[in-house]
Amino acid sequence: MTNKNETIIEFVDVWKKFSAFDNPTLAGISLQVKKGHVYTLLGFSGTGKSVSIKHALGLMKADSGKVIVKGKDVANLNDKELQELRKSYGMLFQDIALFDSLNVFENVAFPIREHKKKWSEEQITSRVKDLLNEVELEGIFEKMPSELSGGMRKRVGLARAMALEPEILFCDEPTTGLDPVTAQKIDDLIYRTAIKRGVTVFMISHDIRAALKISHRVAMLWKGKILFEETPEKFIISEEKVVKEFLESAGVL
Amino acid sequence: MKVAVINYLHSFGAFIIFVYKSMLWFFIKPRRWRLFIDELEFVGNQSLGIIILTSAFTGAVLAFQGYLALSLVGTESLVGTSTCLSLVRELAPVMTAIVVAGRAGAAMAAKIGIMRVSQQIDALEVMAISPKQYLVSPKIYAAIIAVPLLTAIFSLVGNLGGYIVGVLLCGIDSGIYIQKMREFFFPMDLYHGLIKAACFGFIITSISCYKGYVAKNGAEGVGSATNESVVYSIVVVLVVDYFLSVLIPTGVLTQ
Repeated sequence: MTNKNETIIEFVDVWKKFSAFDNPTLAGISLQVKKGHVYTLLGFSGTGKSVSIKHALGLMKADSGKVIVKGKDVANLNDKELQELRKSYGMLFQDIALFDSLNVFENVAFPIREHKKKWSEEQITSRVKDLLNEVELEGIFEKMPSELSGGMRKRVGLARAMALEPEILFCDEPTTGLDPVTAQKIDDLIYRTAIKRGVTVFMISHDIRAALKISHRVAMLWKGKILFEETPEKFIISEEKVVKEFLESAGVL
Repeated sequence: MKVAVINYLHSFGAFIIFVYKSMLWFFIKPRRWRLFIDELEFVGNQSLGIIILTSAFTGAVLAFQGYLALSLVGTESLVGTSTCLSLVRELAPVMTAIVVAGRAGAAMAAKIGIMRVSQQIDALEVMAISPKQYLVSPKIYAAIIAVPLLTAIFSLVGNLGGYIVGVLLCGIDSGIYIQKMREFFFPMDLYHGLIKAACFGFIITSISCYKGYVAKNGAEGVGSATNESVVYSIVVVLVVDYFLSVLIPTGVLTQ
């Protein structure tokens, strides 16, 4: 569509403080995500990873600085413009956030029903079947989210996130809380459903192995700042103390 | 102290903006009539049984107490009047509001609260669906329609209960009961009650939805949101009730 080097998500010196007495959660984050790239923010818990993704989603407003997605300053959009922008988003939440009151099929069909008003019931059904096939879930259409295992829920969440063929997929700790085999599976599925199709992926994680394997750029978040940002190859040989500590704790070094 | 006042004002302002935006979203496309009908069914139809039960006994006890008090001065012929007027103007809207706050309001706060703490509201938002439009505005408008309807049913069944106690149990003459009731009852009394009921429906749903919408801290937060939504709804309804009773004309005054 456009050239590969176009910047699609940009943080310009973003600050965010939740209370006057605490240290700022985000202390001047600047980063750029190129179109079609996989960008992973790594960091220990409580370093502002989830907060930064919420800024890009428009769920939070920065105290100062700008978050620009597809050339638009997210914080300055009105409700309608923000909705328009979000139609190009897919989001895989940390707690997945499937709708409890809807079964698996309806959960995946939900964004389609809301945004593709002209689609017939057959079109919706075949699209949902394709999406669920892609994440290797068949024959559980009628199940409710509470009846599924954590890994299955993640996969349904991924199918729902991809339902509208988003340009950008946001993943908030996609593999946290899963066993290594299931985590591997989720990474493979993210790769297959999104990355292979050229969807830009903005991921936050502390699963360093997966991050190094599928990312184009890896950044280390530390005390509300981007401490270090590099390609996976260079990231792993970094001499930065915190990065080394992090890699060691994950057992990569 | 200063901080507390500022916090209070801040959340009150946030509440006003929340309600204002939710009300506006109803008129923005895509319109979701289906959700509106569902909420109407939930607030109205599903409250019907409990409303009929409470109203029959409320009317019955009103007639009974009215009979005991009025017979002291030999005016038991006015039991029909007192039962009817206090029901239609006052007790029907207030009792209906309390029942709806306890039944539907609490359920709304809990449902929206759980959706908030499990990120389902964020999920809606990121899917480019306004949670205010999808979750809140159908509830507010449905309650504005449903609570007056329930109030009307409350009045009707309450008067039947009153009639049964007054005429069959206390032995007031049926003709006198009805005739005295009709003599002092005017349509404005009914409108008085129904207008109040619509205001109460609005108050209950906006407080309950807001409490759920801003819930945090997991299960405990949802619990206290539900709790607060019922307490606040009932307190605000009772306070506002006094002012509305003064402001909205009643039948006798307008005749």
